[in-house]
Amino acid sequence: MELDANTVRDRLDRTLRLRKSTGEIAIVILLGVLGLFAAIYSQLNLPLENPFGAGVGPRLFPQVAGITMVAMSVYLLVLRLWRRRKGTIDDEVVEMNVRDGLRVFVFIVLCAGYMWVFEAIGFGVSTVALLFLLFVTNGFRRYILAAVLAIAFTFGIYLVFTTALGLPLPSPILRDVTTGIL
Amino acid sequence: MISQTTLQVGAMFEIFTDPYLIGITIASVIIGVSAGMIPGLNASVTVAILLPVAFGMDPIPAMIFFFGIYAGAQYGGSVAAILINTPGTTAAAATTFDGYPMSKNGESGRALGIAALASGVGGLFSVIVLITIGPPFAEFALNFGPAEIAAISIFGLSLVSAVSGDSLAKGLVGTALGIFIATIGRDPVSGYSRFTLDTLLLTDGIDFIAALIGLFAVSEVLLNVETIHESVKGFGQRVDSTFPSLSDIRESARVIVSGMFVGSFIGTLPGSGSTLGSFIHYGIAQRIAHRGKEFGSGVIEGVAASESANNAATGGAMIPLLTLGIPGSGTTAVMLGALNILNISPGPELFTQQSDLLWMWFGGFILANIFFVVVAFLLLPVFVRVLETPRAILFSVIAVLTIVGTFALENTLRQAWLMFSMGVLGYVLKKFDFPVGPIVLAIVLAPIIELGIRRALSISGGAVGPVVTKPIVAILLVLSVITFFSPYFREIAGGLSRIGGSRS
Amino acid sequence: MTIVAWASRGGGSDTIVRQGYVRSIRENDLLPVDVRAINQTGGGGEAGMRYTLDQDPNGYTILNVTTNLVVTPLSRDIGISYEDFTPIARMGVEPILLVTRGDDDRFNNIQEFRDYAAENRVSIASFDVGTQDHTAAFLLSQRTDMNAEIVPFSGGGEQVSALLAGDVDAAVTAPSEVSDMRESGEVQYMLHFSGQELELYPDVPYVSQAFDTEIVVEQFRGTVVHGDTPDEQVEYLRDLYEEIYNSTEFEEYADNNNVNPAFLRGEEFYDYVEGVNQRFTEVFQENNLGVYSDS
Repeated sequence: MELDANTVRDRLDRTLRLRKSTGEIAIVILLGVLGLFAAIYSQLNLPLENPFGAGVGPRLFPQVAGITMVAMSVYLLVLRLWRRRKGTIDDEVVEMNVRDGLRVFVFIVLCAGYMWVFEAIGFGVSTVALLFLLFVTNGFRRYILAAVLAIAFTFGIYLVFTTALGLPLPSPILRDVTTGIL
Repeated sequence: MISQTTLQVGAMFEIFTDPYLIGITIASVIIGVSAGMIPGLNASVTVAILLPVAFGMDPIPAMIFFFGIYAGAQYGGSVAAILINTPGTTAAAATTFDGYPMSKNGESGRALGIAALASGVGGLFSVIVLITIGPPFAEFALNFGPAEIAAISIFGLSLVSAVSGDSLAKGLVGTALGIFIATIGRDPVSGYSRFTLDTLLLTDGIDFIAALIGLFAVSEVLLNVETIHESVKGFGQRVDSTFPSLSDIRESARVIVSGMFVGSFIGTLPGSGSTLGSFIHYGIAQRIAHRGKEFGSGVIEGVAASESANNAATGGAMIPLLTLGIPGSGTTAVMLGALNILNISPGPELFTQQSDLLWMWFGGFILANIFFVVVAFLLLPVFVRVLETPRAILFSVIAVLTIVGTFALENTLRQAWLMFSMGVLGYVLKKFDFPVGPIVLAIVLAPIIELGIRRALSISGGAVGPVVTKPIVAILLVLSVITFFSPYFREIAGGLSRIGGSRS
Repeated sequence: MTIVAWASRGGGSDTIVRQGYVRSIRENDLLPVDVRAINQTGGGGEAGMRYTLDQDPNGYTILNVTTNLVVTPLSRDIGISYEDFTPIARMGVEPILLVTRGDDDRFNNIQEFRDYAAENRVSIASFDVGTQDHTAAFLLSQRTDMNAEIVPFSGGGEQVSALLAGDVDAAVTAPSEVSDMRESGEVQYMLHFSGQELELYPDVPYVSQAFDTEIVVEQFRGTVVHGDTPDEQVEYLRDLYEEIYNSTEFEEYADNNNVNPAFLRGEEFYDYVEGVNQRFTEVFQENNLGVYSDS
């Protein structure tokens, strides 16, 4: 597939439109399924009576929560579908620019990647990298300043956590140097 | 060792001679005011981001730090409300009505000044309320056993209907989700593991502090990332002197005083908090103010009315938290998180056995309310510059702080992953107008309610009758039912009239 | 060198590491290298055990343990047991006490309490199911035919409130939770579960003094390392912990935290742990708990 710069820009500028009720229906179905899981899991794995004495056991609360989730989800679902058919719903359209959506997605992926490598490569390198990437992907285009700021903030956070608060952060390189293994 | 609650007001003033604590207070107020100005960062989000700071500090400076942020952010919210018509915190929403028109008339300095004064006076009064009502209430609460604790938490949870926004069904499904999330992990009463799927990740459940940071802070960061290109306009403007004139003070005195009382009273009720307080008082002030009829066109009394009431709610909101350990709002839930990290369990014992801590905190709270007024009078024109920080940098750094902070909770990344997942969940829910407040309240209150009920039933031998007929329990349960259904009645009534009449 | 605490900051296992060990090592220059404390919280000690076993067995990572070293593997199948570690030393024990309200006229000593409980239904506040407090209360009520309901609470403070508010008749808890209230007369000590006379409370009987049965349950605090650590390093660490034990810093820690100093070196520590393990295994088996449950 051939894409020149203009088509890419075109696509990024496109706006996704979603009826608000469609999003709500998706969320409600998800919560309903989760509630069903909670109710069934409790039924199968947890006793209703306290196994070590009088009173209720570990099943009651999660099961009631699960059933409530299912009931409310079904209610909301029926209500939304019914109102959509009757056309009485005040269905705003939730708009999202592709570019904006992509930015949020990249933000989430970068943070997840950060947590993935955080302990292995250590706080310093991973934090500088993450901050730099977050700065530039969020529209801060002065690359050199971004790099300087990323290093400065990383250093600042490191100092606050380890020196001022006494909370150790993983720094394998530093540790290997100090314990003489490296 | 003091065995009963005594007023140790003297201890409170020790703080005024302690340079370290004064420094902490100043720092916290500056952080609070600057964060509060930024739309999206209210007191709960700011405290949530900074919770891990409590790890490295002793209980006295740590809580003074958080009280300072709380008080400062509550005032900071009014700055953005006045300058750009966007309340920095929802509690300052009523401040926009008169604050922004004043700013358009070129009177932003006057508005900011009176807002600071009204906030400070309201805040100070609320601490006095806390100091007067807290100890006797704690003494009364000494007789609370598992059943009473469960009942008062149920009362707190019954307020979900008030924080659910326009859809009670959405609030309920959120509450149930919160209860479900809270039951994940090992059940302490039976030893059974619930929903852990045999993974170490879920063995201890989702730490409520991690859930709070995710649902409050990360979801807000993601919402801001989405709109990051929209530059916040209006902060470039110059703010002249914020020192209020004598005639302005004289004019606003009446509404400031009535705001103190109304705000404190409403703030003390769990769950309602400062947003409700400022709106209700704004309505009252329209009737009692000198220029009440002109409210909305840029009247200085309108700004004072809203700000006095919303800060007057800050101290009162601490009463159910400190005396019973039951948070009635988002901010107090985060404060409970801070106490948890410090290994302090709030409740009547706090007043009887650790009252020395308590009085120092109150002293810090008083000091914070004085300092933010000073900061506002002297430094606000400089402070407004803080808001010119590019949002790309601000929210990226906040994201890193939430992850690193949650890592520091247990020195493992397990809770950080859970925290971040809750944040993404919160973002999606907020996009489609599912309120996040009920989820947070349920995550915090559900374990207290569940364990309280189960212990009470275990003590009574499984019989429900003797538990629910205890006088305090019975009263609280009836109150809960009324509270829960009161907005529902309104919704039904509203629905009926909607069907009857035409909709706009 | 890294000392691992499996409680979060401020927890019991964290306090002994920071106030008892790290302070003592630093103040007295007991080690040629620097020492730091880290927390690996989660899963009733599982995270700490797993972390320690994941490090190189070179003696540079040592784990502070409690009775959970035995209890957690019995509660859940985690694939780790105390035998995966090499013992360094036991440093102290915290007794477990049965206390009642000071102004409770129904019983003034443990015999009266038991006689009352044989006739009437009583409730005893204890800690979460499967913990040593709960186990002690459970065994006592079973072996002495009490008609007792054991109510688990999640914190010492809650147990004591429930006791003082009159919701429960007694509490089985640690001295640190109630020592202030004993001084003020709000609670009285009825019995302890350490199995021998305690220096701190000579007038409080232990189980086999009061009844015709023996129950020994207490919280121990000790130190272990990875099971593959070379003998040379292990002996070095045992010497180190003996020095720590004799330091004034450790003594101060013990005084402030109601811990009875009780040193057992190396294999002696594990002989003791085996006994503890045996007793808990019996309890878990008899009651279908944890890894012995039917499901």
